[in-house]
Amino acid sequence: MARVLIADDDGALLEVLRLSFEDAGHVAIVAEDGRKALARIEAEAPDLVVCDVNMPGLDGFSVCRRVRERGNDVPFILLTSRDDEIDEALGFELGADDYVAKPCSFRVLLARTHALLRRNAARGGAPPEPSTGTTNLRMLAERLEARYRGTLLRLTVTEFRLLEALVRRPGVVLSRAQLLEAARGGDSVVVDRIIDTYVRRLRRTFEAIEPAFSAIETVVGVGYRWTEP
Amino acid sequence: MRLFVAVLGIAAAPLLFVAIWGRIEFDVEGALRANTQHAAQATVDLLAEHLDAESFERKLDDLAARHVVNVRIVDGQGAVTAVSDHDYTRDWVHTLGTWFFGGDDGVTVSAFDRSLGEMVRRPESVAALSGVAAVGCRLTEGSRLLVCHAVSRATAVDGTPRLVYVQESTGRAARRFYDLRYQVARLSLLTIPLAIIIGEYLRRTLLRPIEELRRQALSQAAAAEPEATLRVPGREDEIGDLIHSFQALLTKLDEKRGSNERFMVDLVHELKSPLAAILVTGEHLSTSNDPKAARLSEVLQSSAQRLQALVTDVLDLARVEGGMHGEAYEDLDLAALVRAVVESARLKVPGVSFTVDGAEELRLRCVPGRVESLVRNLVDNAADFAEQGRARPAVVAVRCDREGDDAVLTVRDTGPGIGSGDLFQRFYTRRKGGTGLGLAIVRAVVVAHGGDVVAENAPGGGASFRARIPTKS
Repeated sequence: MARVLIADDDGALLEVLRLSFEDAGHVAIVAEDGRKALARIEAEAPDLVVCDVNMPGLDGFSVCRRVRERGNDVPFILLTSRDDEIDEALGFELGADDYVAKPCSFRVLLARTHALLRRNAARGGAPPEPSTGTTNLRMLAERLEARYRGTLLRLTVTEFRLLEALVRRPGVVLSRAQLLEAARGGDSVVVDRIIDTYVRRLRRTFEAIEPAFSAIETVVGVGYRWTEP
Repeated sequence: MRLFVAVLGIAAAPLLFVAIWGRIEFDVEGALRANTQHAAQATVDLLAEHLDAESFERKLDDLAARHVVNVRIVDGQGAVTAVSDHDYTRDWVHTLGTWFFGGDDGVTVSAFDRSLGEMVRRPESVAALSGVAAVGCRLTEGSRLLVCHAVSRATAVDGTPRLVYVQESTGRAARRFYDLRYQVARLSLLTIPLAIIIGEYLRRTLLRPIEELRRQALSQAAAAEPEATLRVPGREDEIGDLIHSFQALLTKLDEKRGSNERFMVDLVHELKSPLAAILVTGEHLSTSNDPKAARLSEVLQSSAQRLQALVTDVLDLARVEGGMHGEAYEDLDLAALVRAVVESARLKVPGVSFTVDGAEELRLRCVPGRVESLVRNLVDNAADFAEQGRARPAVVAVRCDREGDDAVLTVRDTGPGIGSGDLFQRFYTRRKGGTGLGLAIVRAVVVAHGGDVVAENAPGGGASFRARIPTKS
């Protein structure tokens, strides 16, 4: 059981999400706008936040940013409804852990919620054996943690899954659809071009550690493959 | 303004010419009278000068030549003491003129003069001798020639009286006149090249910018380019105004397009929250133990999913039809893309067998995401109809070829074929669960890339779609 804060200005969606989370055995705290969300996060200290991006007054991005500014690292999932919001939601500058595009299935949202809750729980204990990896890359699926040449990569859940899918089958070209399936599960609305955005972010993350990084290769028109020498 | 001046100049030139010409023509008689009178007066003055015979003769000759007249000086006894008759010299220009304008022969002044009788007996001479300078004109028979004369009485240096008789005919005047025409002809040698230069100037300054404007406006309108700008050099005349108007029009259209697209995006965005609520509600109800509620939840969910697909397709269609604003063109290997799309279709529709033929590699400059949806829509559509059709095995044959500067994608299926009606129209569908926008998106993508798409019944049954896209954007 976890305490989940849900913030959305759409009353109907808020209500049905509250019911669904409660049915799934969690405690749901609701907020109708950004300011209330911020106040409730402070007051109730939830285990996880699900927050709509587009809200009057204080939007989801601002709520997320302020929460992080206050040193609170509660898992944060953004609900986006525009393609152009996804790009910003993915940004680590913002500090969100994941996003779910509206309209989403609750199954997908719940799966994300559980993944993030599990990660947070796992971070307390001793480091487990890497689930997968290569010579330079170690990935811990349980914690959604990846280290490249010993440096911790800051990855969102989606980026982690995507990287995991590539690394598990080195040298094999994976189509955008396959990568999307691996990274987002049944999240059907997302156009598979969004994979390009993920890959761009992944590369940037790696390049911050190793400027000449080139292990993620683009196969034009088809997809991507992992080719670590 | 420049145009106005140019047109005025061109229009005014012949008017001016006619006006001057008319003035000359109307005043032939006046000019003859004045000319002969001046010549007579000059001769009278010449007679009063102290000159030797030789220089007198030379000066008289000059005078006659200058006025193109026949000067005769008669003494008191009626004897002609000096004659100087100057007609125009005939050179090749005159010969050419005679050939061109027609000759003036037939009547000569000398023959006419002889018919007038003895010079001193003529009324004008009588008048002149009595002290009245006489100027007049006569018409020859048939009015073919006008002969004018000026007669003056003069006194020679030695005190003896003289009669100065000056004659000029229209024949001579006509010569002067022809000369003017030759001047005009000569002038036209200058004006014709000038006209060519002006013509070229007008072509450059007027026609070319208009042509360029037309070309650019058409291409910009066709491409529905965002922030379309006409690259015609800025000018401050009527053409400049025209360019500005076109630019203003394009800008307005662009604003309209932009606001339409924003509206679509906003609309789709606004639909997403209620849609999410419906979907989650459906999911929630599906866990119910009541079988009726579970069934209803399925309806709710599938409807919500259709609505969601529709909303996504409508947005896609609006964006593509709006000119794919802000979407980057990249190099794409169409053949590889086709193979990848077919690969995923094989997994989705196992009952259909797919074949891929044609080029191994086909480079295309395009918006990759859009071309991908084009290929996907065509392949999925064909797979659906192949599955529906009675032909077994159900086959979808895809091939992509290069034809000149175009990439051609052909997708054939063994389905029931196409009926009448525009398949590419919005919401035209015979597919179950389709939004009816798939083929409309296909056409919009192809058109946005400057190509075309046709659908027909394939020989031997089934439908065949053929999309052609230029490889260079």
